Amino acid sequence: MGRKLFALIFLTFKEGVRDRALVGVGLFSLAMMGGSVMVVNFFMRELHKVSVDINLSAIAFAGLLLTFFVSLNLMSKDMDKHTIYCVLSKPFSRTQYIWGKYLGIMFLIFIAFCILTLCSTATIFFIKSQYEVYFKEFSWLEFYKAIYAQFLMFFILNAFIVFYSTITTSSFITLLFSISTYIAGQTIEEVVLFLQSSQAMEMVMSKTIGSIIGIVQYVLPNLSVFDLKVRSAHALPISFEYLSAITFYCLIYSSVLLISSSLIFNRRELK
Amino acid sequence: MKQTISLSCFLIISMVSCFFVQQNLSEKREELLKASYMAYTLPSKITGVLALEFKGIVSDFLFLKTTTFFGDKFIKQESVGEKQADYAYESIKIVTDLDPWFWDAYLFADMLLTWDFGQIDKANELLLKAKKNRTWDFKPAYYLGFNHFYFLKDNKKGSRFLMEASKIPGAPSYLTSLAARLSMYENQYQPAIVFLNEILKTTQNKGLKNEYEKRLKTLIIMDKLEKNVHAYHAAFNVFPETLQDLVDKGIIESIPDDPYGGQFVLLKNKRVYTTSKMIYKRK
Amino acid sequence: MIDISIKNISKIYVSDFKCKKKTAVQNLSLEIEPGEIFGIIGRNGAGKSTTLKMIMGFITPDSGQIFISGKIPADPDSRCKIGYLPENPYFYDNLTARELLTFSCQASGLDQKTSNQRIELLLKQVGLFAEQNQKLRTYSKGMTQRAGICFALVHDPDIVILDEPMSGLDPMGRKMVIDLILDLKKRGKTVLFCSHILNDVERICDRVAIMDQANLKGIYTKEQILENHGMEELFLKIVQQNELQAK
Repeated sequence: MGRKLFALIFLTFKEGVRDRALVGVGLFSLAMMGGSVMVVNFFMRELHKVSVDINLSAIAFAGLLLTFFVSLNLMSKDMDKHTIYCVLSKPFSRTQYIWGKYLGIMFLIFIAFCILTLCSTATIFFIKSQYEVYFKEFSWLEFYKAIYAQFLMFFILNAFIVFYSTITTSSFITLLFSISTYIAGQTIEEVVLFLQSSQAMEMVMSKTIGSIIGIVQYVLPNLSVFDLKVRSAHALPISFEYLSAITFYCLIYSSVLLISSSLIFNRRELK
Repeated sequence: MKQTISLSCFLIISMVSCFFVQQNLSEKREELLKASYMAYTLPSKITGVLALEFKGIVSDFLFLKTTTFFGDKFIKQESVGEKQADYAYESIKIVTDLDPWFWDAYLFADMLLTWDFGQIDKANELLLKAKKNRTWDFKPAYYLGFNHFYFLKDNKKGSRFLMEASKIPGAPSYLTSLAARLSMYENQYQPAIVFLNEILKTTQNKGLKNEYEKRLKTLIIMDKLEKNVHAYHAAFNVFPETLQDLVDKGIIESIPDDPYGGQFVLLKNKRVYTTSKMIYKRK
Repeated sequence: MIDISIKNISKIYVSDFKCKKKTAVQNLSLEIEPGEIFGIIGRNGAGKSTTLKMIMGFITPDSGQIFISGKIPADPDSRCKIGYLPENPYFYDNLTARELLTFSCQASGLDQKTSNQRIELLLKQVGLFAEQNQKLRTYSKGMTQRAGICFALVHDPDIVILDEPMSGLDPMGRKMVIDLILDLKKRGKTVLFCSHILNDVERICDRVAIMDQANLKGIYTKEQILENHGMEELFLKIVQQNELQAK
């Protein structure tokens, strides 16, 4: 059973890791990190902030590209082109298929994160050695905490990719849905905060809109809780309680998505 | 074979013409940009939402855009006015909404708004925001103190801010004595020289650096001239009528030139100032 | 023990938007016994592939039951001993044939030594041994078909289900597939396949089911086919009869 699932995880990983889009993603993020070495020259004092900003953004952006191109491809193309038959003609249950695929994708993203973390560490180390004076307010620990939180975000986002590919029949719709979910997830917090502010309270808001937003707030993932980039750029300490809170949030939310995907997928016809 | 050769010829011709076309385009583009520079800002309610999880890097970008805009103006010595002041204020407000801990941005806005535009209130408003967010940092309170001393002539508030700054861990030990000294040196250029020296040590932008250096140079000259005025008073028991009196009595050889192109004058309250008001004679 | 037993299954496809209904399989019952080669023939859209996909569990029948060695298709264990070749197989682009086959063996729980032996043997049999480390993206239609046959057979299944195994193959390839199927029969395996190519079906099948317009028109043994002057005669007769009835 374990070995079987590992075979599927590894199959997914191998198929993804050889995707040619990966080269583009890699080059892009390396260029961005390399660019940070030059760009910091234009700033006055807070070079640590700028270099951390750029490096963390490069990692986040690479992760997004990976998710929306490579892992989406791994899920949707499987159904579109019927490669799924070659997995499901083996003794895999639909639930095992969902989990195996998801873990394979997450393994791919994990490896990508490891490489990107190494590269950004090297970049920041280099900048730091050049401008030691401006790196007094910098902390490696906070930097890695932000990368960890970023990685957690991709657990949820990829669970959404899996979820949407089980309910739709076209990869384009999956792409559209997951990008909208990402944007909504990143902005929902601000929208809710705005609506709760006094400014909005003055506006007459109907009860229905209020309750709809309340529901949406619970259904949509709050992805901005995983964004610690700005805080880590200023080496503002993040407590371990916060980190464990977002870890649990991410695990529970992804599990809910994957379990519902399995339930839906068990009923799906693969014509 | 023949086709390959002719195609290669066309390629070379089009590549060469592409070069010229691009040059022409960049000239035209520059004219267009000059006519209407994108000194616009989007409210942070919108920018913040659009920036998604990339608020840090967007704040870097917007800040860079603002500093290059003003750095460019200073290098080209173009005139800046009310409109540009509003732009600086609005854009830094957005930058610091995206990243409320971005000290570079606060300091840039402070320098620009106080020295170049005389909008001390707006500068202080941003510094107060910095003080609220950068709780571990003595610098916001330190600069607030300076603004109150130098620009607002409010010594009481100024020393309160400086004392507040000196209590924050990591503040330089001289702050307490500086607070005391500054209140004594009321109405003098000394504090400004001290502050500017601090800022110059850490400024990299070429245009801004030149500007600060020039300002420092002017302040040092005016400080020296004021000391000379006091020496005159000590020697003759009366204050000179004009700066020329100092030359006439042989205290100084000549009235130095104002780096900003104005002329140093002795005001009625016996303080030295310059007709350029430390703002470059704009074209 | 019956290997595959199908009892009164029906399937109606409902197209997405217009709610148009199309009967794919109607009240089909079949029993396939161990060690036999069973062919399903029929025109395009007769319901052959749908039947096979229902056996594999890709599609659930609207009514009726399917048992594979006593297990229902929803049970993954029912596929432990099945090898399946889809119609127009398409595999992961970026994998090599070798990796694909290794996955097939691992998923079926073969140990490494046996799987290596099996992979090499089969690759040589279908003539892909030289190309085993090329990515599947570079394969031609015929090569993909061969890789698909390997994929279905590599874990030495007891029941082999082949959907159009001859499509896209040259005459040599078709002979190779026929040899493989006959070899499976020799080793006591059950083969269920569907095809358009009547000659091939006639040559190798023990029993043939003829389907037309979602219905089973009859199951014929080798002897019955001979009595009816061959497969082609028989098939045309049945199809024409069916059309007359429809009128």
